[in-house]
Amino acid sequence: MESILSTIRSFANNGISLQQFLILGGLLFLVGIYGVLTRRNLIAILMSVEIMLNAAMLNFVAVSAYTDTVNINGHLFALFIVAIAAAEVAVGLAIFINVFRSKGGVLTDDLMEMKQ
Amino acid sequence: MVDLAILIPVLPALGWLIISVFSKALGSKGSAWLATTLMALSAAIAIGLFIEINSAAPNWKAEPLEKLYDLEHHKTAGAESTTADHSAATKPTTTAEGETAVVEPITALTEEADKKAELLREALPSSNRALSGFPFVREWSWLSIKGEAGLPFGFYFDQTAGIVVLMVSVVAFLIHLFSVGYMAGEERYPTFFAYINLFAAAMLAMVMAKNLFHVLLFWEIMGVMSYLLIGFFYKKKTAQQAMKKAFMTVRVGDLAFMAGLFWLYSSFKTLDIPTILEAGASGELLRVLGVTAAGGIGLLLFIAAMGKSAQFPLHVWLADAMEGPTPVSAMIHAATMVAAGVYLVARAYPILEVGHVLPFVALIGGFTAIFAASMAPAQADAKKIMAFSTLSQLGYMFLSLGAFGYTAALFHLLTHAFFKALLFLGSGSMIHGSGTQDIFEMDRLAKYQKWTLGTVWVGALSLMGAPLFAGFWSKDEILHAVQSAGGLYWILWLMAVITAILTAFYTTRMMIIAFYKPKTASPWAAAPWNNEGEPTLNISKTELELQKAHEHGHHVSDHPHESGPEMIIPLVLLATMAMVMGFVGSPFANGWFQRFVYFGEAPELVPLGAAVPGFIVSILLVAAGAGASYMLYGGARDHTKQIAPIWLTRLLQRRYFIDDFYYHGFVRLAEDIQYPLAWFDKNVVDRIVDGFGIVTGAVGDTLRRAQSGAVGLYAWLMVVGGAVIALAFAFAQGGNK
Amino acid sequence: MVNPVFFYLISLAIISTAIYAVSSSKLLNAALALALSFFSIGMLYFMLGAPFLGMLQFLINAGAIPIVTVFIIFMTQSRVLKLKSPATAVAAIGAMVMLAIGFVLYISRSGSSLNAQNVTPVSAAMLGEKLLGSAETTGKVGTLFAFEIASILLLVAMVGAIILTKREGETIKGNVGVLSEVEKSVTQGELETPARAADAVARPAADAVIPEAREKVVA
Repeated sequence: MESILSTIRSFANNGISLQQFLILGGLLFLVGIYGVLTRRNLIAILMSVEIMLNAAMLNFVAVSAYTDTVNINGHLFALFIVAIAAAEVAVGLAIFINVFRSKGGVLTDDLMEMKQ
Repeated sequence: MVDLAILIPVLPALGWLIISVFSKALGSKGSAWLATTLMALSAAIAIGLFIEINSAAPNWKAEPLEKLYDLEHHKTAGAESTTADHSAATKPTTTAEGETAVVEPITALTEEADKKAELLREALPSSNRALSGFPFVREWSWLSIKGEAGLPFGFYFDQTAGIVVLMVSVVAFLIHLFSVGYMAGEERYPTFFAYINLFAAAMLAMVMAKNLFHVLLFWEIMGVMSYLLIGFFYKKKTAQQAMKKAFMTVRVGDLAFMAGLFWLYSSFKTLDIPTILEAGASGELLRVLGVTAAGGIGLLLFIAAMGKSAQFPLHVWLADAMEGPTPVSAMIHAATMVAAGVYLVARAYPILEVGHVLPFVALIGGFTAIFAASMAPAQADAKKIMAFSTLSQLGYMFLSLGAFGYTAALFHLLTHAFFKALLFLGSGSMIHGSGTQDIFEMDRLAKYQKWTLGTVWVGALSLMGAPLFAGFWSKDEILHAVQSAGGLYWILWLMAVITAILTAFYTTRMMIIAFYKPKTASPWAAAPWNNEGEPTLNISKTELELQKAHEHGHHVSDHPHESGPEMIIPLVLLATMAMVMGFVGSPFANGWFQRFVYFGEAPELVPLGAAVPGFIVSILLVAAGAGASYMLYGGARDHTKQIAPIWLTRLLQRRYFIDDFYYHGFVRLAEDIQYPLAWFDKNVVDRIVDGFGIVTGAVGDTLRRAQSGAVGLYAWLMVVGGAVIALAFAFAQGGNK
Repeated sequence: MVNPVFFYLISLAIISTAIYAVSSSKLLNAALALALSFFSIGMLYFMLGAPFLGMLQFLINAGAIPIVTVFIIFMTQSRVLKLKSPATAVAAIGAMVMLAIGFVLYISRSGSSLNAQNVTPVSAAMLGEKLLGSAETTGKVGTLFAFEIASILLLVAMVGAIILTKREGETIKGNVGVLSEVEKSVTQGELETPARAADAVARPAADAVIPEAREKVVA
């Protein structure tokens, strides 16, 4: 509990510490998870996944900026995440179009074929 | 040539590989000629190697022989005194000068011995400069074990190996050549050549092997090839049973072989043949092993040899092995593979000598010789007669080995290989020409098969031991060796003498009936005892016909005829060798063979004059046997008449009921045991295994429902799992603080 | 360097737009909210001294991805969604709380609370040096290989997207299409012999040549 209190206290401090960024990233990630869990539309789920990816990316950049300004590995990771996210969206959306054509909709329930 | 020696087994093995893979592309004739060509190359290299060994062998000049022995003695003595670890004592390499045979012992030599070696080198003619490079060794590291000698893979060529490699490769080549004609029209013609090629490769590699472990390795390959070739006509029931019988019987010996090798390695720490030979000469073997261990190991190795060389009581498989095609019988079950047992005993000779196993070897050999020879006169099948004669001759070899006649045994091994291969191929030609294996059904073949007649007579005379033929010299050597062994060996000598008479008797009988008598029905084809006991022992009439159809397909004809040139040429070549080969060990060649192959010290040469009484005895024995045979069957006499009492014929044709004994004692016993075991297996073991299956299936059926395909559920499970891990991780971190 | 006021404002924007994006029943609005959220994250990158990444964020995450998403929303005719039952949302919030506790505990106990410091902006040149520099220039093994893999991934994704969205039997215009029309005519039996068909296909795929071949074949 002590440590949680000190974390909250540091919010009030003048500067913004790394922890604030990490908490922001974590919250964003949770929002993404919420989307993935509650949405039934594949497009909406994909959007939620994008939010999760961005949360991770934000954490990478923040940690990189706060810890080491010479070795910018966090930035590199962020770059690769951007590339992968773009690829994911392109292929994912193409798949959705195919799903729509064959099932008439893009709901997860439409895809449930493994019945007993 | 020594560097090329590895090709001797590799070429036929390559043939096996190529034919196995590309037999379609090569075609029947292509496969056969490829196999034969590779075998010819192999034989050519073997001849070259033999010439090299011959020129390098220390006994070529009789004079420096004693000096050499001195040197050997010093060498081993020096090695002993300085190197405690005998396993490190042999690391043979050959330097550019070809002067250093054994690296570490040479460094350990005393100065005195060094000087002596120098003197010896000076004294020798220039052609013998490579003397100390002999015996030739090529070695590669393989399965090295830390701190122990391990099992390096290598070739070792001394005189014994050289002569056996030569014999095997030449005989194998001639039999390949014969098979090209004999097996023509067979359905699995390329397969046959692939098999015998691999067999020849394994046999050659076994003979060349430096390590007893590799002897075992190639010995087993030969066993498998023998199994496959006996069962070459696998559609025949008798062939199936014969192949099983052969394999299982030999396996008894193989088990003993392995046990012997384990024992030897655990107590002597090496299986290296040269090391064993050297240790035997220096007395180290006796010191390390002791009489008991050496006796045990020697006995186990001899049991292995008994299995492979079909000695009593493991002799039962050889006669049935004649189910294979005749060239196979000639090559594997007469000339080469069955000689492997003799070769193994020759290789492990020091162990057997130290362990006092040799009298036992002699006893088994002598008994098998007379025992097998006694069964041959009651046979009607030409190949069976040959099979029993092979058993008997192998018995001779073991008798000789057991009677300290190492040289005589190997001499007989050499000559026997040629004349027995000749006889088998000749009987193959007879079968080919007449369409039957039964000598009674062969119709005056002498009229139709001039070449076969001549060559088979050469083989028969050689087998009988008629003067000047190959068998005469070697058999005489054996009789001489047994005679000079002294002690109770005179009983064995008597057995050998009786065997010689019997051999002459049944050989002459076969020649007379097959070649000079008109066709009659086989007298024992319908004998009641053919169907008693184990059902597979004697080939019944219908099976014989089936075999004919199998083995000769379209060749079956009513009129006897001569075989083609591919079959005649090998016969003539073998006949030539059967005539000439004996002279290498005769007084006419000044006992070249005796000075070339020997164990320990070269045997004393018997001058021609002193050998004459022995010769006369031999001639008398042959004359007695052949004469008796002629009196009974020759001329116009009725050869189908039952001469022996009927119970004796039954006893001999049932092979003293030993096969029946094994059948009832082991095979049926195993069958009786198997029923309760089968019940146990079906009701207990199977149930347990089924239980595992049922449990696994039930678990799977339950878990399967989790795989619902609902993506949302998967996401949920993933998140919950992630949450649990995150919490656990966080609390674990807290604990660390 | 990071101004607390701006940080909290931007954070608020990010979280609120993100929540709207994952909970709105109107998918088009959700996509636009997503774009806003990503745009705000891009602004944070500028504050963190990563202007190049910020630009990338604007261009790709806040620009291209929402636009493609909007296209797909139109194409799959799913502008308005039925939401799941509130029970699902409550359960999801429960799971999130569990995760959040773990996360906060982890962060707070990991010890170091680095305070704001002067951040050197990472220029595109630095990133490029880091990405593409060889071992000689950077002194370490570079990320060139990973970079190449990423570029191949993008290429494969592009080709895959084209192939996946192509309708069955649908042809893509161009030389390939002309050839496949010849193939179609082969399957429809317009050609007399396969050999001649192969002859026709084997000709150079130039537009000028293929019609001739087809005429010849049909004739």
